[in-house]
Amino acid sequence: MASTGSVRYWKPYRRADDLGTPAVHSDVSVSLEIDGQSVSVPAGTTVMRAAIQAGVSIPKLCATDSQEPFGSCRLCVVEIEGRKGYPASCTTEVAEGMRVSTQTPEVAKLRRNVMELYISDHPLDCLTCPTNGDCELQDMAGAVGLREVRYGYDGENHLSAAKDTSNEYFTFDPSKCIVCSRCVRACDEIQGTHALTIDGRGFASRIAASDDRSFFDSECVSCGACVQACPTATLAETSLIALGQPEHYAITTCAYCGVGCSFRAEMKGEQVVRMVPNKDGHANHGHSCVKGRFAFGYATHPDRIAQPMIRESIREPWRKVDWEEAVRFAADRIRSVQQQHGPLSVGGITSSRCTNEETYLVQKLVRAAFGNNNVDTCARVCHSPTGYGLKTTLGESAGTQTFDSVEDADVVMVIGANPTDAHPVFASQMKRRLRAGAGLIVADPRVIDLVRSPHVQANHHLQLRPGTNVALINAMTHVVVSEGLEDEAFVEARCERESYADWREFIARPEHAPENLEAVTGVPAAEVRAAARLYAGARNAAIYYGLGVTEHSQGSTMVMGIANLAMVTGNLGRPGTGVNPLRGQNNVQGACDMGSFPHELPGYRHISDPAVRGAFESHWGVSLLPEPGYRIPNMLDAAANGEFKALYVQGEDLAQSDPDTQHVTAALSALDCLIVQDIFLNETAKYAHVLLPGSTFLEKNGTFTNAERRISPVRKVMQPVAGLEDWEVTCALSNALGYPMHYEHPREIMAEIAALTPTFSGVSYELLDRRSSVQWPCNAERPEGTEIMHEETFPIGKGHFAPTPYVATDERSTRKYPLLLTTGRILSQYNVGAQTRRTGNVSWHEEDRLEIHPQDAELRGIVDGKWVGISSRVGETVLRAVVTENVLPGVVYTTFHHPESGANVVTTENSDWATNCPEYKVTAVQVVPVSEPSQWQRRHADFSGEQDALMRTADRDEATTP
Amino acid sequence: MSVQADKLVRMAEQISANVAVDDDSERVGERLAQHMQRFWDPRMRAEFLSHARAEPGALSAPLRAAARCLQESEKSAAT
Repeated sequence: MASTGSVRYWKPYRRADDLGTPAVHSDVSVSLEIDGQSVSVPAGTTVMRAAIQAGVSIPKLCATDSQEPFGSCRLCVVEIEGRKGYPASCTTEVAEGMRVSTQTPEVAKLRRNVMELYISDHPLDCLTCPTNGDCELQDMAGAVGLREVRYGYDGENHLSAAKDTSNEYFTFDPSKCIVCSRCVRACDEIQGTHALTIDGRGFASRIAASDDRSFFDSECVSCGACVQACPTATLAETSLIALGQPEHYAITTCAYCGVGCSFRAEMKGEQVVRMVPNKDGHANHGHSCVKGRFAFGYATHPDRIAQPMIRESIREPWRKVDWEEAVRFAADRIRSVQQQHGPLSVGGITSSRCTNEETYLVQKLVRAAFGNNNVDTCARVCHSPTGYGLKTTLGESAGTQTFDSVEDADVVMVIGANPTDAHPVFASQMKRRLRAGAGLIVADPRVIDLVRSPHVQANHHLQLRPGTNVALINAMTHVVVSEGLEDEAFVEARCERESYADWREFIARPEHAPENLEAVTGVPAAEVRAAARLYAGARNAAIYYGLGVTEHSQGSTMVMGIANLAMVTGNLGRPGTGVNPLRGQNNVQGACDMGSFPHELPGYRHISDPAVRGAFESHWGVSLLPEPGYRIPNMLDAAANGEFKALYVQGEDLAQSDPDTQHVTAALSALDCLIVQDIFLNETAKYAHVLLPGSTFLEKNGTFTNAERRISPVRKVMQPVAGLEDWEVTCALSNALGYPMHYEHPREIMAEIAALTPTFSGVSYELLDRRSSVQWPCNAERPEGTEIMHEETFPIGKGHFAPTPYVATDERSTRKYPLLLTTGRILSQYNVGAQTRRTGNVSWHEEDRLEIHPQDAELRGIVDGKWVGISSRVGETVLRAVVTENVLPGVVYTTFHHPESGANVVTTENSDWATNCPEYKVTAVQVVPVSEPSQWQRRHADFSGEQDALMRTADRDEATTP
Repeated sequence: MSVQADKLVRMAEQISANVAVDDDSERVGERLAQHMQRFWDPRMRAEFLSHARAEPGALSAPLRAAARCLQESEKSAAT
């Protein structure tokens, strides 16, 4: 079971190429001559870019191709025939017939003079500098041939300026700053936070973060764009300072959110020196956020499970064993449960954090080796309504666009999503478009950052009551239909006539008028009408939505409502439009694509379809059951009932992430065999009998599929801690169960997926090597993949309008529970926090807190920063309060990143009608000041303490065993 | 009613409320039955059916209609 390593993706370290100024798109080509060479470039291109593209290097410091030209350093001056003086090549556009000389004695002298001034106020400590050997200033001093500094070094200077080490991940050393303002522009143009500025003028100019605070205390969100942009060692990664220059790198894909950023893992042997966003990355174009860029230290955290472990019962100490024994133990347990309780009494859960190949294998294991369809995935609790809703209306369970499509949007509508926190890199791209003038509608119970942030302000913030999404979308769509704002030509050409007629009659009813629904949603009718007109009136309008849409008892209805609105206004099938679910975890899209749902085989094909099932049966050499199996909540209910007895969980933490924690833990405790495959002893693993060490994204090969259907490679840069990649563990388990799985490399698994799945038939590792990434559908019809879906037809032919009755949730505020709790996430932490809590990111968010409006706080005597008890009909927990007007009166909000917070002790069993996706976003609660943790928290602390002790016993036993 | 049956009935009620647009309970029941066939594990359908047989009076009209549909398709599958 040796792990197959791969070194062919490793390349020797070198700085990424930089063409100086951004690419320009133009159909007009301009020809010019640079140093005697003929060059043709698109009109609008700068002389600098044209030259560098042609292989002529021009010295530069303030210019970089990720930012607009600035023209401050004067190092890139050139001579142009017929023009006076020495224009900066970075700010001079090419012209037909232009003749440029980049190397003349005059420009050489000017450049040397410029460098001389820079170096007169720069420390000469190159040999001990963190960027020694990889510094643009150093390179330029060499390039221009600087040989002396006639001014000496004794004059006034900045050499004693103090370092700012307040940020965990990077150091700001102003003594090395050349005030090129690349960091400031990165923060403005790329990230869009506008946290940095140049303070002072002339010689006194220096970089300042938010009114001269430390970086940590400033508005800086630690995305790393400034560090990336800095041409010197002024802003440098702390890890680089500690470790020195990387010696090789591999291109891989981030394992955090559904944006799926491409990164260069820059390495020294098996040690990551830094993760640098890949400029050629199709999802992120060289940008990153604090998680992907910096929070990778969990991979080498001492808490990593490094050896398989087993135990007879959860009250016993763990016993460390080798892989063979662990896998044998697990397989025997599964088979004995099946003998005792029947073949249907076991199941498995695939992970949205694992690769496509790994989720595919887990569902294959369940269907073929367990012999049933009890397989589900964590998408059940986040985006399953997206699958149902989009499949019903548009015919495919996927977002319709590329991220880049937002650049063509004239109006952006964000519903129940908080992109600046949960999908930060895409949020930056969206904000760039908003700063350029696109309209913005935000529908959210909270004042999220997008509603008002530097140079971005929502035209309409529809601050609806939690649980009233469907009423709101119905009201908006009613306005479109009743005010004649429909795109009749699109509906006529692209949609079903009959379902449209029925639906139109339904939505046109007066009960859906905004005036009639104002009392339900809490959103003024005039605001809804204005928002509907803005959306429908735009040339291109795009909807982006998140879990604030899906995690409701009417989540599926809302997704269909969104699709209806997009169809009736013709906002589908071209750039700038579309219906775009923002996926929570890195591979939610992929896990769903790979047949992780109990009713669907890979490619969203129903298990009851004999032709589809037959193809898998003949390839897999087994017969498959034609009926859907249990979904996660059904498995838990059946487990609590004693009818479901064994579960294999890969990379998911049900005990923390799923609602109604006490029900979940009761169910897990009732299992005869719980096999957990994870990188840490997570909350679920504390109830396990078999612990199989997982591997991080740095330790394996495979692919992830992001929110835009983009399949991107994940590449192994270090050996798995316990020796096996996750897919190898699944193979071992399957082999032990007597169902053979033999793959040498994940590329073979992908080949099998492609052979069996029409939308993936063109996908191969060779294609990914060539293209870097590809968006499915990718097949004979579309060999290079599909950027925009539904351009000419829908997969179901015509678009289907589904009626969307608003059925209010049963979860209503009452006298006993008068407030509505809604949940979400924040920038620095990720999901259950198992990864981010084991990184420096805890300095931004060390605990989950409860946001409450000042009125509600005052009424209850609640003080900011003090403990409050939050109770619902299913449980109670205690958090510290944050008193804020970000939430409406009557609404409270928290995150769920820390297990001891117990946010999900409070959330209930309510779920989406179609998919059982839990209603995390609406729980009726009471909040009162308290002085101590809740009973659940005390029990949780005791149980966790006990389990940690049982884990330590395993370590001790191992240490004493000869 | 067992805890499980209670939950299934609630789920069925929820589905029927969400697929109903002023249709009669027969049509709603058909849609509900279709949904159950597509998305429910057969054990859940069986439990729902046995509850429907045991306490038909306790169910709403669309749920009773759905139970009939499920029974019929079971019968036709068996023959």
